[in-house]
Amino acid sequence: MKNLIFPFLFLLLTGTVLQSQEISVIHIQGDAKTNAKSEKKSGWVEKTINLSYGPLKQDQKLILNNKATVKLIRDDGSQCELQGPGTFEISDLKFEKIEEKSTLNTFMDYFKSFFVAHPNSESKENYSNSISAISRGEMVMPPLLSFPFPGALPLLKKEINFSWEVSCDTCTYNLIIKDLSGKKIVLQKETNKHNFTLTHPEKYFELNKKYLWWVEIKHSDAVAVSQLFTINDFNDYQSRINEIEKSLGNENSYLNPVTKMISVFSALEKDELTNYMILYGQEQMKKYPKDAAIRGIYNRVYYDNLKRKRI
Amino acid sequence: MTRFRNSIHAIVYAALSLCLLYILHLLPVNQLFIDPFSEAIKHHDVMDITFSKFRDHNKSGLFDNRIIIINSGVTDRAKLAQTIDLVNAKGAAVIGLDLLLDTLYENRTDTLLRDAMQNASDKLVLGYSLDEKAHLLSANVSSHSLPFFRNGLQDGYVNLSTNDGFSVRAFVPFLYNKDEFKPAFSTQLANKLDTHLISIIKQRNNHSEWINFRRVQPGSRSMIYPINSKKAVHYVQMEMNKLIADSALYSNTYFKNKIVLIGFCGENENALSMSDRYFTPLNEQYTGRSLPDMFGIVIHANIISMLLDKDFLEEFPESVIYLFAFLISYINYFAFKTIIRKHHFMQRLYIRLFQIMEFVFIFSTAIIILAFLNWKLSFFFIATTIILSFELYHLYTHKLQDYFENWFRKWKLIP
Repeated sequence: MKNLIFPFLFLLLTGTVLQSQEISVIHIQGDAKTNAKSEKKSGWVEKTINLSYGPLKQDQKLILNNKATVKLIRDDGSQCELQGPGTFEISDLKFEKIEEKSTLNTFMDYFKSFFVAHPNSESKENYSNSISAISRGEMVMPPLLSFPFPGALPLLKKEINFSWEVSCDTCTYNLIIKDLSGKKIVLQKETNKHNFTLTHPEKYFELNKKYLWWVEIKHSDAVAVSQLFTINDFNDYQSRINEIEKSLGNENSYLNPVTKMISVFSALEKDELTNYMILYGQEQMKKYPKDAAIRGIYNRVYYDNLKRKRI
Repeated sequence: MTRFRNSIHAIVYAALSLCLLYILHLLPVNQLFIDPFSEAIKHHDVMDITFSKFRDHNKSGLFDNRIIIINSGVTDRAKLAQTIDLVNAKGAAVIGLDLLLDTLYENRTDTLLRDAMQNASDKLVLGYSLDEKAHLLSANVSSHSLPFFRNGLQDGYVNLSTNDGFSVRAFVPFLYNKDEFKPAFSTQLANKLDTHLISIIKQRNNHSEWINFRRVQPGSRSMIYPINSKKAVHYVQMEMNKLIADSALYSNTYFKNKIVLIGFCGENENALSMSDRYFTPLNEQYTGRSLPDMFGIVIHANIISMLLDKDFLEEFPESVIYLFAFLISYINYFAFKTIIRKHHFMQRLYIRLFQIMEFVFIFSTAIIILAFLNWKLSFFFIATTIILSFELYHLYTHKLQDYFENWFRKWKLIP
């Protein structure tokens, strides 16, 4: 018993009772990464991921690239600032409580500042080249492809409209479509608009072939994430729609256009034919231009797919 | 008997000084005769020097983990919709949107954003601005998001109080009468976390409140003089693009019970933008030309922190200021009389030294009680009293003292 009392008293007196405090990231500047473990079939695999705000574990490490800065805070308010390049083990980091100035020191510093000579603005000798009158310009976000969606796309007879979302109104865009198997550029087109209508698509595309497409912003590094689509025969699209409509007609011949549209969408969605759904929706809107319900359903389906793609 | 006689003269001198200074105080045009001085200090407040120089911004405990700021950058409605969805799904207590959505582009992103806002309708607060009569309940809405977006959502006005159009020091927590209640954006947000807040502010019975600025502008680009040269971090400030890209890295509890403010803090994290940026008492360069130091959204964050902590600034009433000025004049009468009697040939030097010491003492007192006790003493009137006290003493002793002496004798106050 005596053997235990002394170590306990020592810990109590020195205040070095071991305890782990939560460490959180509160500031990230530049390229900072950390390691994370994920479970795979083969077991736990370690990978490097971007550092995010919030708590860190003791067994994690931080990998900071050149010019990266990270600030960490512990529950007791002590902080640790790390500057890259380098790799830092969380368990080895030293946290320091920031020294607080006394009121007297603050006043003394203020008093001392009265005696710091202020350079006279009328003398050129007091001017130094401390202003850098240059800008990096504004960053442009990459475009987001909004049609066609990934998957099967019927080879329309007249035209196919390629569209993308982007926040820049004054940029020039470069639309590129590539044949995936031959790796040849099928189409490259410059435009100021956020869409491009390709007429006579049969001249460019072959049936049952996969194509990759993306959009670049000219004079910028911003490039959209590329998407794949497979060209299907237009008859395939028409026969599928006819088949679905026919099956609906046999079961419920009194179906109104809205119910019919919902049923067709539902059947196409089961086969993951998003582009078929969009094209069918557009046809229905042309057929019933004044029907707000049809327009509403089409919009919902379109936006839901767009949203699903983004999240 | 001489002491009694002097006391009466000191009281009359102090009373006359106070009256004269009060008239000058009420008629600003008459202050022009001390033009260089008044011009230099009229845009300043004792808060500016106190908060920027005498408060330790690196003090531990200032980091506020209840509030997360998300920089929207150049507003991209699709990303905004995605961010609202994300923050809502991860359990944020309140989401404050300090952005105006007053244009309808009639494309799919409008609907995406509207849907995201409606999904978070129980926790989303929108900002709007009132016209120039913003301190009155009758003020009209100057700009607001379109009904398409704001239908059924809570809102609050984003107006902040300023005396020059660019320095923010105060705000009006809410405007109300029996029938109508208009809360400020920050009050509305803080009230969602602390429902007793509005009744507490009402009990204080102040139309407007000084903002107790404690937390500086975050963000790597702002860590420069005169904005945040000590590189203090008091709020987590995320970039919207990075948050969306790394959304999977954030646990489901990271935003839980937090106030998430979405607003503009620069076009991107490397841009030192001057849009929606204002001067606050935390500006390290508190005189002369400087860069505006704080984005509007961070000012709202400071107000929310203040409201949640009940960390209000108290203010000495005007009557106390006048009492101070009276006492200073009373003391100065005796001080000047003693100095002139004892150091006749060096009187001006000693009197000016005495005035400087008096100024430093009162100024230091004002700073200490504001920095450490949260009590604000309006300094301008007292400073003018000290500066003009010797000139007024001369005027009194040479032109008015004999006249009053005769009166006192007539009324048999003195033999």
